Amino acid sequence: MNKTRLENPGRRHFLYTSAVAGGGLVLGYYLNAANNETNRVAKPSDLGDSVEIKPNAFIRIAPDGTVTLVSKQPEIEQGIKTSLPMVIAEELEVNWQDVVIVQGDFDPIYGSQSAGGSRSTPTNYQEFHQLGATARTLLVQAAALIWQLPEAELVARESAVHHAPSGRRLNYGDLVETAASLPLPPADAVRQKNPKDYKLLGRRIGGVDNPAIVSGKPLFGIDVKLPGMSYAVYEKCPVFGGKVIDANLDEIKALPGVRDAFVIEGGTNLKGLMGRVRCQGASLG
Amino acid sequence: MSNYVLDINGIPRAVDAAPDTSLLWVLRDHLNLVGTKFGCGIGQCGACTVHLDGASARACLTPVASVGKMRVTTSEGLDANGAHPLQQAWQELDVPQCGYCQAGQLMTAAALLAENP
Repeated sequence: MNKTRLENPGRRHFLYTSAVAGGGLVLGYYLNAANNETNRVAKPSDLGDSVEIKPNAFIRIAPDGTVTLVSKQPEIEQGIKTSLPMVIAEELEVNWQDVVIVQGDFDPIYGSQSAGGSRSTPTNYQEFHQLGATARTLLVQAAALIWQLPEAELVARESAVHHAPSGRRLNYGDLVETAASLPLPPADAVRQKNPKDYKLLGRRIGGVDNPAIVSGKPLFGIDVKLPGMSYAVYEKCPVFGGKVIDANLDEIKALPGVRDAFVIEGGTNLKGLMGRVRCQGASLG
Repeated sequence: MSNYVLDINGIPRAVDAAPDTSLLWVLRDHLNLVGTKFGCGIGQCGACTVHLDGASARACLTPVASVGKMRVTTSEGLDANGAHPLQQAWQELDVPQCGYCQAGQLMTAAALLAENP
């Protein structure tokens, strides 16, 4: 596994690359798992056994050419699940239709995952450019090694590295094994794209979840079913500060599927609970 | 509890549910068809809209006992390949924002256009 410091000193993550079981290239960066803050400084000396450092994997390229990008921020209608992976895909020079986006699902190895204040893009934009550009650089270097040609003669585009003078091309999937064995390029050897050459950024790209949304696939919190999950509902007093006088708890508890029902004594504390009856039932599934 | 055989997206589905259970929860909880969404539960928002014999209906206000032999169509069954013209247009125009209510919007629009081609 190779490590190098990211270019942006404000973030101070450590990039890593690795081959994965079954083949493929993985690129991500280290976070100090002892501190979930993404901008925790991980010194090279921290990367030993004494501190638990877990690598994440924002980019995975499989030998079949499938590019999996992790979306770390919660998608709450702002489109971030589409837009941030676009940043990586832009620098990676990958066909958008080859990209599969998976949600980080609050795994702490992806760092702070929250949305608010329009911060998701500004806090990740530069870092994701660098991740994508680093992966592209590795793939170009892999092709240079295989063809024994100077990197300067090679161009990455459309999920492949091309050598125009000879008309040859190598798809990313065919390069991952070699790329995963290369040392990470230093940050100053990684060139981010000139914005005038952008193909994805600045274009309107449909939301990645649109196919699931229009065909009724499970996507939202209410669609999730976990083993042994039960559901709870509250019947609140309709009047602020009201108290529960009586409740037909025995009748409720006798209903099919109901595990428990009880009264919660409320108060007038605005931050506390109001009087209510809570019922908990078993899942039907 | 009572036994019903419902025609859901062209497939007969057996369910055992209390007669006043809404079609919404039969779809979501009994049949695991979660494309139909719970929104307000009082027939106002339309997120739960399905088709009964081709006409739009609020699943949250439709007791399962009232469905009988009517054909129930949900967003999962609007088109076998998810390629109904509206589903295609929704994607081409990037219509969904969060997407939660889109099944209801699609089903309402599909019924409207079926009646008013």
